[in-house]
Amino acid sequence: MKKQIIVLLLLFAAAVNAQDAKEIIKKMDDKLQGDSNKSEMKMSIVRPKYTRTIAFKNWSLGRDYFLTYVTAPSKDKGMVSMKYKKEMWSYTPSINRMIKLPPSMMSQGWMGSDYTNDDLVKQSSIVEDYTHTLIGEETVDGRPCFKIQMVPNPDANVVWGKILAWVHKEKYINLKAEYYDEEEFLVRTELGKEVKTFDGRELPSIIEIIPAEEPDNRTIISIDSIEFDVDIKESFFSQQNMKRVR
Amino acid sequence: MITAISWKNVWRNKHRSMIVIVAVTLGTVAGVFVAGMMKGWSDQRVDAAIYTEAAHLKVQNPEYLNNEEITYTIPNYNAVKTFIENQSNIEKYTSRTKVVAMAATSRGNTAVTLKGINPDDEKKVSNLYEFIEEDGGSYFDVDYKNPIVISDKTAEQLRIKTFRVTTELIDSLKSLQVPENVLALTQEYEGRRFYSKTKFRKAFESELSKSDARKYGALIAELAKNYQLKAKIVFTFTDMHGDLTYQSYRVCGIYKTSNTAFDAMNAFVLQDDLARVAGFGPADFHEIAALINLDNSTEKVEQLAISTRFPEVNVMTWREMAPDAAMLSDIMDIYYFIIMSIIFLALAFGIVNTMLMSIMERIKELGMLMAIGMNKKKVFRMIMLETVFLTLTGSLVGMGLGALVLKITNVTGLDFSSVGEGFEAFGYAAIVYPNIEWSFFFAIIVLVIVVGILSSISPARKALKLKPIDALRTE
Repeated sequence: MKKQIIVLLLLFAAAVNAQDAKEIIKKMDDKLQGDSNKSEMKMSIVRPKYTRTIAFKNWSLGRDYFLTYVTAPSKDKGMVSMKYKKEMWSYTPSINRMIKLPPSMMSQGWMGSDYTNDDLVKQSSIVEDYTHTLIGEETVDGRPCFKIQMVPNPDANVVWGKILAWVHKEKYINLKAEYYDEEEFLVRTELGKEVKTFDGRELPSIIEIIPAEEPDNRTIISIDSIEFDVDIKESFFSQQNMKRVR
Repeated sequence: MITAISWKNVWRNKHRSMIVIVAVTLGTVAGVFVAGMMKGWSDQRVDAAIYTEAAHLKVQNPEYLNNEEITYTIPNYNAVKTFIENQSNIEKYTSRTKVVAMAATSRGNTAVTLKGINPDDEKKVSNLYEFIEEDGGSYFDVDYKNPIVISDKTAEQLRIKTFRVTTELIDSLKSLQVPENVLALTQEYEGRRFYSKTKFRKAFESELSKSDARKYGALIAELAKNYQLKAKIVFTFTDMHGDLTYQSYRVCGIYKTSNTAFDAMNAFVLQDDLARVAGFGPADFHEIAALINLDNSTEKVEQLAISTRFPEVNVMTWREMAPDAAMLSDIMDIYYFIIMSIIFLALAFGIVNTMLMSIMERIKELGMLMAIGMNKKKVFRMIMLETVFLTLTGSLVGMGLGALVLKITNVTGLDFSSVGEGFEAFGYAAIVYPNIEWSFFFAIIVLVIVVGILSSISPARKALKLKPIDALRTE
């Protein structure tokens, strides 16, 4: 009898644990997302022989709508990418072309970065497509963090074997994430640095992505400003607006 | 009578005749061998084009040829299928669905055509299942969900093919009695992965002495090849409704044919798995591939039969689908006659020379023959037969030897693997099994006789111009 109670307790503890881990990730995800937001960012693509910096503005509404307007460099200025539900659209003003990205372009890096178009379209799955387990507590840069292991569900269309995420204990900020392939080899590391307050929320202002096998390559995203819960309607995310938006 | 004299004349100056005979023998062996190799090569290409890649006939939606859009399925599929089933000369057929998709793993991505197949039907029409690599899993013989068969080339692009040192590799090296220092280095490499053979060899061999590297580098690299079976590949494609969808498959088999271009483009999955996500109905298929009974019919006849009955579909024969293979099979016969003709043309000069010498030596004798009443026709025939015998002896021996060489190499195969990558990019096998039909030898005999006759003209004219009186007086 005693044994059974212990087993039950253990099971219960495990369940709570799993629930906790999922909660943490969900809180972290919500914090970053908000219902709608407007932001300005810079992205530096660092390669051994050159560095390229792109500045852009983002608008997003929920999980389904997302629009990016490139402001610099002047060569790419005016290029617009839009996520509309499951579609991804792109507009290039210099040739006045609007295209719906075909599957073949989804796996290409977005604007030449280590982010793929796919990452942008599928970004919502981090809560639903994984099984989360709290596997410990560690410090990252002196900050106490939950260490959470995320294993994709068997049916999830995710290329990773597992993801380890270090989430700040109080602020629910992702300070570090490691992406592994199915054979448990590290593929890339994401680091969240320099936590700042944006519109009342504390977020890392710099996100660095380092591919494990090409440590000389990295993509650094720095957030200049974010406003949360701004007034945007679905109609904002339209092909007409892609040409108009500034 | 004349024939016997000619034959004896050939063997009067054995040394000189043997030189010509040996030259003709070698020329024939070379010609037969080269022709056999070309023939083997083209046969293998044609076989691969029909029995692995394209089948004899393929029925498709004509629109699909212009634009590989998922919605362009075969119109009126059930009627077409029933018609094909009832054609007595169509032996086997299979229906496939096709989706152009983007494949991604955590480390690589590439575009492939996913072909939704039914393995039992597919095996009847395409022998692709025989090309599963030795350590490359199986042809859908697995119990997990969403299995996929991809090519070695795709595995390389998606980085599912790696080079690594495993404990089994070390064990097999131990049994091969590889020296201690090489073994120690191999052990150091345990746990590291490389994505190409060149990278592995470069890293590995740089730490070995040159002689060791030459001895064991290639062997260890070959043993280190590893396919990550059960690896997950996520595919992105547009479904029947025009929406972007995702589907994951797990690798169950790796195949490698002799055509890299075909390999790079084709991956095979189960029909039901693909239909579930892509939204295919029970009559949505993109192609029907069929093999016909070649004894009773030709692909052209069957093509006409189907396309007259169903003008709304496009029917293509393998000749249209693999025009390179079709051209080869047509041109090959002419091709090896060109080779043989060039060889015999060169030999003809040698033969003419030898015959002229033999005539010059026998001026007195020829004068005597003419003086005792041998007419010009007979003299001509004697010289002509002598030339033909000379060449025919050489070429018969040559054909015998050539056939023997072909018989042997047909079993062992000629391995061009060291330069095979280039061939395979064009669709030609790296290992060739030379082969030739018997009719080719009859053709050579005809060719030899013609060459013999032609090269006897000049010496014979020389002999005919002799005046018996003058000829008799020469010393």
